Amino acid sequence: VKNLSSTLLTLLALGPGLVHTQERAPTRTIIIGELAGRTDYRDFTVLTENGLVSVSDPDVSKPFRVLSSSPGQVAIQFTRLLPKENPQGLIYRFYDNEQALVSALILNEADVAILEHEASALEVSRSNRSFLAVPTSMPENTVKLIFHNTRRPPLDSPEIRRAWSYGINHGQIIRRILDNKADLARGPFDTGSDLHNASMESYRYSPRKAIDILSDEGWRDDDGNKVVEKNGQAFEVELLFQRGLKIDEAIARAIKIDLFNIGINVKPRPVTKVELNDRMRSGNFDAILTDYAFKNSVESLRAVFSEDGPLNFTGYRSPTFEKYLGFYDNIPEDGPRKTLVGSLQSVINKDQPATFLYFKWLTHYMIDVQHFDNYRDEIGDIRPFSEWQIK
Amino acid sequence: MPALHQNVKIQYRLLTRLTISNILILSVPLFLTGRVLINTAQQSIERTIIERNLEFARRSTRFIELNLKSARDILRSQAKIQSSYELNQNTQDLILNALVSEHQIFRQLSAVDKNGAVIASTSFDDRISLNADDSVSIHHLFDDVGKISDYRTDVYVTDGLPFMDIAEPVFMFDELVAILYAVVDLQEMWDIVDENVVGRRGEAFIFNRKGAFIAHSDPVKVYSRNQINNPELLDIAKTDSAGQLTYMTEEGVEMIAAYASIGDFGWFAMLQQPTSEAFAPASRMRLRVFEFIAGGVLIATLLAYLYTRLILRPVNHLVAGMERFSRGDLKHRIEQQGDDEIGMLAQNFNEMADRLADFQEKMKRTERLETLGKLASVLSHEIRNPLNSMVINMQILKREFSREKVNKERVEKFYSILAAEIKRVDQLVKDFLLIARPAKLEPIRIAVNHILDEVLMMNMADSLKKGVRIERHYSEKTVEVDADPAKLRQVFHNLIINAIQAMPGGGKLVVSIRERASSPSGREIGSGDVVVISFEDTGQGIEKQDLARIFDFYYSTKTGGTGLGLAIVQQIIEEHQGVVNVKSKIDEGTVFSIVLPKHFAQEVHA
Repeated sequence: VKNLSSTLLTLLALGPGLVHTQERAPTRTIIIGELAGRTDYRDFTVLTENGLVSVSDPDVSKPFRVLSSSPGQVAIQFTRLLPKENPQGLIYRFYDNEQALVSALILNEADVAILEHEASALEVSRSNRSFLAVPTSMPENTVKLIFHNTRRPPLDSPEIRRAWSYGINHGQIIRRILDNKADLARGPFDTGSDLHNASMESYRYSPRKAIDILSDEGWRDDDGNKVVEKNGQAFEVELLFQRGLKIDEAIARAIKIDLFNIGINVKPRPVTKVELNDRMRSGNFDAILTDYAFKNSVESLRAVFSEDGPLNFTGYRSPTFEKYLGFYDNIPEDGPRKTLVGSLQSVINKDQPATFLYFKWLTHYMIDVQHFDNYRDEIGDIRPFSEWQIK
Repeated sequence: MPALHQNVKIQYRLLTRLTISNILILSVPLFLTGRVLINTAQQSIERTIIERNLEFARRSTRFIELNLKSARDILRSQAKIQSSYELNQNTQDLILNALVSEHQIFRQLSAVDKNGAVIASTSFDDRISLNADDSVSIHHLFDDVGKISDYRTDVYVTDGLPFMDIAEPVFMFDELVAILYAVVDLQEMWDIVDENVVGRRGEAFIFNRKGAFIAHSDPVKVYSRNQINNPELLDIAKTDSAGQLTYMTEEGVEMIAAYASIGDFGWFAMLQQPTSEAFAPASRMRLRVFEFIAGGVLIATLLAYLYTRLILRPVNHLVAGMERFSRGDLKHRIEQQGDDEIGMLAQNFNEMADRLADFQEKMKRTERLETLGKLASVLSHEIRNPLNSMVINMQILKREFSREKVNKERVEKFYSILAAEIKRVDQLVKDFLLIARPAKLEPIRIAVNHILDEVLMMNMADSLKKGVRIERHYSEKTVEVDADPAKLRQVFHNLIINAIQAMPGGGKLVVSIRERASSPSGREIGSGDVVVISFEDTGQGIEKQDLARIFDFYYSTKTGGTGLGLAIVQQIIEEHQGVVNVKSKIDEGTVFSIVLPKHFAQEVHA
């Protein structure tokens, strides 16, 4: 596998790809399958012991150097001298969709990958006995949500966003698509978090309530085409999601069907991870279906939902939210602070800058255990790749 | 003696042959029954396995046909809905998405008008693909879908998975206005294939006429786009039927396969399993039956042996009796056991033995008279000489005594001659009596080496005087035989005296005793171990022509010999059921060997 990777690198380097560097890849490498689509390598970040480091980071002290790169893959070499049983480098190979990644794993074209879809993980482990599906807990507060662009009509109205949330059958998504292996989400913190506010509205599926809200807001189907209009403008929303993710595609389809029942014409659109991130950062979207991992602190809320938050993709602005943040900053006591965090969540819950769908329990690391060892620590978490041992 | 050995052989052969016959009588039907049972059961098991596999293959095809037919039916229904109701695009979109959401066999559904414009689609992309490689124009596609009932494309592979497109026409007032196009995910069939894998090493797969796998219980073969290249399997693809075959894989594994064609798709469902695994139950059953037969044969062998022993017991008794009789125990009679054929045989034998004993007694008497006559004749001749000498010498003595002056020296000389002649006559008579009226043989268990030691000691002075050195080549370990000690002493004495006299100028006499098993040829002596006592001298040897006669009565090559010594030796040894052998070379010496059975046939006193 490792020798093949070297050959493939050379072949790719000869192709018309975006190749900036060409060095011989180390022979002892791990090939990681990434469901990122063909991407500009400069956008790619590598998870290291120091956290995520961009491959285009000019910092010479970063723990790796890029040997070669193309839209199809990035090869890096660790700069730190590692014992001979550890890998000397990594090759990240990019795949357009989950099925292509599954196929690559089955055909031993990649050593490791993360598959969110349990059925895909089972298919790989059933077809290729070298692979072990290692179920791994999702990082805390990893929530599947729909970010609404609060700057664009018609989702600029909190009422409309509430109607939107009432119109989505969260429970059915969890049951039919996730096989009940997820928890319903009401806000950014899951039920295991000490910051979780249990008194928030659950937005239980209520299409009638959603239609009533829309009607109250002036959205009605006057022309009988099943899509509500207001001021001659049909309620049509483009829902972006990452291309190739089976679960996200199924959720997008379910949302389209659900919301069509209340007169909203959702147009799901799969885009590459890069485009998704670009459009999220630039605010060029109506709604985005994605995962987001909130850190278990109020700062995470501030970053995403505060006016000045660096990650406020939705453009959400709420004086109440800002007021509570101010209180929070000025009150040192933990008790009142916790109450304020609950209030902040209530504000978000009420305004629905994002529709929180569910907290997923597990993801699946697919590991070629015939070739690698020492991939888990004592408590079962996956170790950094540099600590893995090649058999 | 050889007859005894022969009897044992016959007895052994009879036991062996009868046992083998009985084993065969019992085992052959058992073996044949087992063989028939094995063949029948094996054929039955193999037929069952083949039929089961064939049924599985047919069942797979039925499931797959049903699945694809369901997909077709759904599409056809939707096409009718499309044509019957004027649905707007949003509604059509919704319906198609709901279908894709509910029926995972559809990867994508699209409704397209004549111009290629998408009326509705479940694809979230701007551009949709209506066939695998976009090689067919929309107009051709319309023509095809309009004309061909159940339009479908070949199977194609995307991201390792097989797909097939199907389409249904949408008519509005008999006018073809649109087509409903579906991308069918054939991975749905994989589960059906998996469910029909038989055995641990079995495989199930679906392939098309080109040999490409559409589904396989080992999905890697689909992902890696493996193709069947076995000509036997590809030949199947030329048929449209179901059946079974046995073929050899490239790896040299013999496979038994069952196949069935899937509708008119040109696909085939095949189940295969290594014959070694498929027919393992038959092999196990064969082993069991074989074990049963082997066990049966063992039991049959044991029974046959015991039964044969039972049958042969009276025969053995008879043979033992005959053997004992033939070994010289002429008084022995066989106990009659029962009135069967063997009992009658024993009775006849006993009667024959009685007659034989009478006859032998008569023969003995006749022989004895003949021998005595001959002896008397020889004796009279032998005695006449000393008697003449005695008469002459007595006349001389008389004349001497009649002289006035008796010459004392002459008298003594003639007297001594006279005494010697008398002594000779006495010896002749004694020897004659030994032969003519031998003492009854009274064998007891004796240590032959001790007897020999005694005789050697007795003759030691004589041997020393003659310059003969005697060497004993035997150990102190007691060597026992059944013999009459007095007679055996006589034998040893005669042979030692002969040897000493054969070496007038001195020499060496080697006396040895050795034990050995009976001669395999059975020429020397009967069954049982024997003792060989040898007397080897370094005398002048015996001429070849004399060797043949040395055991005759009154034949002697020595001056003054009676000619009865060796005759007595032979007589005594034969009485002991032994033999005397002699080998001689002129100027080198002579060897007398006595071979005595260790155990005497007659009753022996301990």
